[in-house]
Amino acid sequence: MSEQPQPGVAQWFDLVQESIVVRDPAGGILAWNQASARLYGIASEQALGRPEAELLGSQYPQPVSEIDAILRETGSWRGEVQRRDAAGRELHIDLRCSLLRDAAGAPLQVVETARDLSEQRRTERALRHSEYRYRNLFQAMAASFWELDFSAVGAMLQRLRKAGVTDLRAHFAANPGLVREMMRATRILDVNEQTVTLFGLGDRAGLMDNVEPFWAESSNHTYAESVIAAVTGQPHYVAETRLRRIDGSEFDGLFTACFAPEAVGRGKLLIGVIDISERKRAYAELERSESRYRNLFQAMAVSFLQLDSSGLNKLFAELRAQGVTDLHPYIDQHPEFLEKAMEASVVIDVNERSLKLLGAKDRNELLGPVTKYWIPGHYDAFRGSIEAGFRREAGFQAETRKRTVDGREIDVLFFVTAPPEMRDNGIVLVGNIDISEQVAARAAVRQMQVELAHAGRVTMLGELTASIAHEVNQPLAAIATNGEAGLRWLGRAVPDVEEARTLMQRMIADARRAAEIIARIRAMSLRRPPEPVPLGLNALVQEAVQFLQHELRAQQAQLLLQLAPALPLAQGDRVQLQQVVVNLVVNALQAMAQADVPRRELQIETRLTADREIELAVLDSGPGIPGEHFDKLFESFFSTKPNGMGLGLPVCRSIIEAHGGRIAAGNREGGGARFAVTLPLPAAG
Amino acid sequence: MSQAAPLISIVDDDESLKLALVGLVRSFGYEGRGHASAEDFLASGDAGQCACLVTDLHMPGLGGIELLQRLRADGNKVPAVLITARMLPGLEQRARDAGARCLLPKPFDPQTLMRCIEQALPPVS
Repeated sequence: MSEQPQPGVAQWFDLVQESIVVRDPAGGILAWNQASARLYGIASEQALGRPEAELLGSQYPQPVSEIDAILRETGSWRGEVQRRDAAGRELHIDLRCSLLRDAAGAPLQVVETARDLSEQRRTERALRHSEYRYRNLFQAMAASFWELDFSAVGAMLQRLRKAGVTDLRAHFAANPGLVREMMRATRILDVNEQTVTLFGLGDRAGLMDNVEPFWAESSNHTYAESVIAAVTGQPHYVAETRLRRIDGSEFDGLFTACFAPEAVGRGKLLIGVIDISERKRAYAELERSESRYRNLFQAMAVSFLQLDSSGLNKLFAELRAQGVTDLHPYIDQHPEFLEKAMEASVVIDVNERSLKLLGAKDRNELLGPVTKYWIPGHYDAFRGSIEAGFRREAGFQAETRKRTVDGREIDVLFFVTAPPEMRDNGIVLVGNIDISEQVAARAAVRQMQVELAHAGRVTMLGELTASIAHEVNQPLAAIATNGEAGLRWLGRAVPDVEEARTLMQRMIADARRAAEIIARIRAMSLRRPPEPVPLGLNALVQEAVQFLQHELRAQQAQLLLQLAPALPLAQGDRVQLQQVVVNLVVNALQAMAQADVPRRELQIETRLTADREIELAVLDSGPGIPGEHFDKLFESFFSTKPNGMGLGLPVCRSIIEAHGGRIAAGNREGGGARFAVTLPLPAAG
Repeated sequence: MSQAAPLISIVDDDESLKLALVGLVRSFGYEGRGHASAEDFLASGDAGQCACLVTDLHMPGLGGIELLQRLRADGNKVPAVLITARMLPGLEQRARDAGARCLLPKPFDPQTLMRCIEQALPPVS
């Protein structure tokens, strides 16, 4: 049941710029306007009466039955339909269908308007395609590298020289065939993946012979110039030139040859080619990959993060525009800048080692702003790194504590590598070396030193026990003896009170002497914090010597004291410094006894040095210190004594260093060792 | 005729103990004379006169045992008591071998020392 539109309407119908087709519900075409004829390339006469789907090869996004059902139910349908025009070209059509019903409500006609989306779709597809290429380029290292063997070319050049050719440039220009021959003699040893992609279009096998196929005929000159550069000892040669892919298509490339002397000597050459259309980005990428490679190579076992610092660069630029020249005072005034800078420093790549160190299962956990790695209150290292960056320094390193993504805190050596040209490209490399163990070890060592200082004192006491026992026993024996004698005098028929009084006075003196010895021992074995007081070093030496009197006598050592008169007071802990003197003297005595030197002389000197420091030296006439021992002398558990613990000197050193002084070992000119302790004068006031 | 009190010679480098020992023997009625070293004692000539010698073992220069060895080598058989602050293994044997009556570690009981001295003296006739 078809009905032609009215003639007036038909005119109007043809004026509409949009394609309008009227069909019956089964698909037979009832009306076809001019715009439809233009769109499909089919005249109205050829279209009328034909089934539309067949005429236009329509492909609908859903089954026709479904579209019909929607039409019946809602009265309209819209969707994208693929059709073909008279020439067979594919068309993408935005189709709108509306249903006309008769009085009873039964479907009568379908009016279709069509808008051509083909151009739009083609553009989109082209865009997608170029984006795909773009992404591919981006992902690959954008430089093609070739390792070449040109030893055969070298032989050819020698023949030319023998033949009397002096002007190579002119000779090559005159003999293009020779240049092509040299290209064929340039063998390919190896190429990288990018070369396979760029020249071989994915096929590596075709790339492994010689370089001739890859030079466009127009590029003979460039090849010739690179050969001339090589033989005239240039370090490298760079030129833009026309190159050829394996399928014969040509492109513009930036050709770089490096003539490293050691490689050239072996007839080897490294060539780099960059697709010049992508030159700018590729160049940055080359630098990026090279520096990344170089740095990664140096730091294999190190956690390594690549940061995109372009955001930070922007912040820096803003500050410079504001006239900021030094970041340090600026951060003092704007501490919040640190967190801004962290947000602007974004991790974009990490190495394998970082996963382990930073507690990540997946590399993606590590990407993003560096903020998560920094512990509030531990920003110093980050601050130092950006301050160095602001000063355009190429590197920075510091020990710091960082947070891992699994919530641990680790001590790391944090270092930043960003040569200015890299930083300008927004690339900053950050390395982290786990030093938790070292830091823990250092803490343990400090703890151990405290223990050792105590153990050292106790050990020394052990070594001196015999002397001490003797020292204490003397007054004890005297007291008992005097007491017994006193009793005898008092027990006489006529008690001799005077004798008893004398004896009692002696007893009191002896008891005092014993008490002093005991006090000294107790002070030495006590583990207590140092008590710095002003003290005279000369008096301290004399006390120590008294303590050692018996030892000196037992070793039959002669003691010589050379104490500077009017020596300024030092600041220090009396017991600890006494311990140092005693230790040095005992060491000297033992060294002389061990070597069994016939003349045992011990000298203790004090003086004020030219630098206004107080020096105390202990000198002996022993064998001196063998050269190989100097380095180890102050290390714990290093001992030259058969039963030595090796604690004495390290303890001495830690005591002296705690006093802000130094201890040094040396040998005397005439033989024997000299240990010198230097203490600073207390600050005036 | 009252006999002169027997001379007890004391050799010790510790001044206070030497004085105490001299005082002790004097309180027991003997004559006491102290010497700060074995060399002093030998030089004093007391070696030929004393009835008993009390000497320290460890002294700078000649030690107690060496002193005793030298006296014995000269044929001097004076009874000797050794005192020492350091009781080392084997010392007792060495003291006996050198001809000492007693070896007493310091600090000693003064009464024990006096018993040693009195036992060493020749019986009073």
